[in-house]
Amino acid sequence: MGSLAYAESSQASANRAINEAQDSIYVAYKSIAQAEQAGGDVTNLVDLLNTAVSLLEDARDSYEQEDYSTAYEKAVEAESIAETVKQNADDLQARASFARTLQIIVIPLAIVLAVIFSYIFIKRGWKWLERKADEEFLEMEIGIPEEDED
Amino acid sequence: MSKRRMEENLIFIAVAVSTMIVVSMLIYTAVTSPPSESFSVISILGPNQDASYYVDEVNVGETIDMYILVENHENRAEYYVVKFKLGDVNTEISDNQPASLSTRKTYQKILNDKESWQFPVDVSISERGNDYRLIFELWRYNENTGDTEYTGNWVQVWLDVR
Repeated sequence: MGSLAYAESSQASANRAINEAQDSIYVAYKSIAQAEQAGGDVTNLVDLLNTAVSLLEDARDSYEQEDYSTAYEKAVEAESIAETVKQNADDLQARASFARTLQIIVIPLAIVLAVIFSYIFIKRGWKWLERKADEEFLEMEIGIPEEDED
Repeated sequence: MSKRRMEENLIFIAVAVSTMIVVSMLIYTAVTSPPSESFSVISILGPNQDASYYVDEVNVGETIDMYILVENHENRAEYYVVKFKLGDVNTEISDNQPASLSTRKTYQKILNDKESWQFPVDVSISERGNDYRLIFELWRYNENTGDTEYTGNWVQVWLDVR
């Protein structure tokens, strides 16, 4: 009777752990999707989350084979990895959003500055060329060809 | 201000404004350019891991020698779920409606954009019969609805079990 109750308890725990791991993986994937949308590179996070997905599949296989303790262990491990991925994905999303905001400010500012500096340089350059042309003109000597005395 | 200087200033202002317009248009085009067409692919490969030959007959309980290939061209990471269902000549399935059969086995993986995933099909059939349909449906997890949804992509192989 006691062992039957233990088996049922073990099965229930494994089942609950599997469901919780699946939920955590879904939540982590949602964070990855948001981080990617914000412009972050999620390649490594996807690889890590796939480790959790693989562990969850192993947990399900163990559960089907009535190896509930292994199923429980693998599901708990999968959940732990998924939580780490979620944390990292949230951090990545925050960084990517900040970088994008910075881009929105910096790029137009850089364009405006580039135009202003171009304007100043071209104008100064133009003036310099004009001045040089004037100087050359002023330095020109008027020469009168010598007449032949013959 | 002399007339000549005024003309110069006007030219510079015109150049500056033109530059700003051109640069703004380039940035707008870069930012708002539509992404390339998005789609997912599922296909069956034979024992040689290509489409040249498929097993059409197996023994009872024998593991079927074939592979499934999933490709992600959705311009984003996708959480794919492949559902294996065992049907027959009467099974109805379409691009809009998955087969109303129980799922025998699921395979899942998250794929980055432009990434593919190939895996062996480790299933077997425990009863003799002809015209079995091994159906593989491609589903994906929608993080907005919190559910897996049918992509409309599916593949099948007809099989006799002796």
